[in-house]
Amino acid sequence: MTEGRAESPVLSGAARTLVSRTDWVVIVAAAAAVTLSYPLLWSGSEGSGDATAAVIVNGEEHTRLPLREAAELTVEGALGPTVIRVEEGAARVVEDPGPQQLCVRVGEIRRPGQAAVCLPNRVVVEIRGDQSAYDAFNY
Amino acid sequence: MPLNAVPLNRFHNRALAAPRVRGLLRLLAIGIPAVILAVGCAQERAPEHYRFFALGTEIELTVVERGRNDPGYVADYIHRRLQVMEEAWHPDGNGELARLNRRLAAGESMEVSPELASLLERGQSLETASEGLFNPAIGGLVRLWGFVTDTTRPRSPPDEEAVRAKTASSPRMADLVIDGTRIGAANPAVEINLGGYAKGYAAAHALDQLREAGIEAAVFNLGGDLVTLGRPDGPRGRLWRIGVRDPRSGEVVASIQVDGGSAVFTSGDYERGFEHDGEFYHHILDPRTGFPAGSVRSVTVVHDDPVLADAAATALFVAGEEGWEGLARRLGVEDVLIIGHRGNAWMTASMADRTMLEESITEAVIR
Repeated sequence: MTEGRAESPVLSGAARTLVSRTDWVVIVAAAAAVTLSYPLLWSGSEGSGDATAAVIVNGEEHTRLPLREAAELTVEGALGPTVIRVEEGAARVVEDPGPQQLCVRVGEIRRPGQAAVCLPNRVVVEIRGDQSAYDAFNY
Repeated sequence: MPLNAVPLNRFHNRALAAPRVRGLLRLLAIGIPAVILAVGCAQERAPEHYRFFALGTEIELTVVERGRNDPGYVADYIHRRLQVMEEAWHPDGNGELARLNRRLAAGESMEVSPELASLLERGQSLETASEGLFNPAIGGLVRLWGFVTDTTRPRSPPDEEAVRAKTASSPRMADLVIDGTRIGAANPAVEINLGGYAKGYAAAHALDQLREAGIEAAVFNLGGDLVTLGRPDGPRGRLWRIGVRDPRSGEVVASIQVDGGSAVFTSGDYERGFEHDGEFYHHILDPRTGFPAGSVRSVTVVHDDPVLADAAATALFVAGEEGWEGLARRLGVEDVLIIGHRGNAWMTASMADRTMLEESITEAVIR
């Protein structure tokens, strides 16, 4: 039995016998599915080239601060507040209750992989970016 | 037109109009997007992170390929086991190690767990292999310098005479008498501090657990010292790329490639310590002098035995510029990277093969 009796309104003449309305529904739906899936599955985690400072408190990620936006953030760690400032494309810890002030002394960090670790207060500021060259850091 | 006749199209081509062909075209119209979606889904598996604090540091488990099982359960288990280790081996309080140390100081012996007994035995053989540069029995000296407690008070270095006296009492792992699980010491000055290899032991334990849980690719990182499992892009894929970071600047100074089952451990002069009168006193003491070892900035070791990597990094740091090469050979450690105070580097040939130094390194010598 021949099928495809429902004529396609879009194509002309001979082609109509090839592609029925049902076929069109399938094609359009499939194309839509692929297009809509793009941002979900293929566009990568952080968009194009925007480095962010990930602030991790007590082992959990608290915030991501984009480096292109000036900002100041205070988080409560185990000993007290740690203040992080983002300006001119770099992040730094301006205040921290740790006795050695190691994470303050690191100063500005801006490249993916760089980090300031405030160990006593359990706060870590780590720069994340597109396609970081490293799987993990040793220090 | 007969019912079974197929209408001809403009090109007089019967084939394209045949129902079989149309069925195939429909299949492709559904099949191709389905494949694209499936591949897209496979791409999206991002690494899973589990973080907790134990053994005095931030610990991060990054699972790149979980295999069949949920890593949450094994991450939890490892967390609890490490907390138990921390309590058992804390130099103060009532854990097993603190109690043992008090008995040894009183000239008595004590029964300990098989785990601690085997750690102490391992400590003895590491001390012998390192010719005393790795010595977990100098807990008394570590305490004298104030590195036992996590104090936030500003500190000053101990009296030099006190340091000399403690050093002269010469506590060594060789002084321990280990009879099964009964531990005694011939020298009451012995005080065990497991800080030099506890992380190595914990890392080895975690790796065993991860393997048993069926995790396929992961990195277990204990505050910078790490072990790897599997490979990031599957068993036939590339190796792990580890960035060695200078804590002072936050910069990566070297990039090292390692396979699964590798431990990467670094001992450095900026990890723990205190500043006094403009000078920084770090926590890696030279057992021979009782003072912080000074001649290099950091030592990074790669080895598939995490306990050896941990102990060797410490011993090689103490050995310093002059002694590290010979000691590395004696310890059976082939991959060593040393950063000196001028931002210069020394490496073994084997380490050079897997390492790329960054521009901040001023010169590199391969031995």
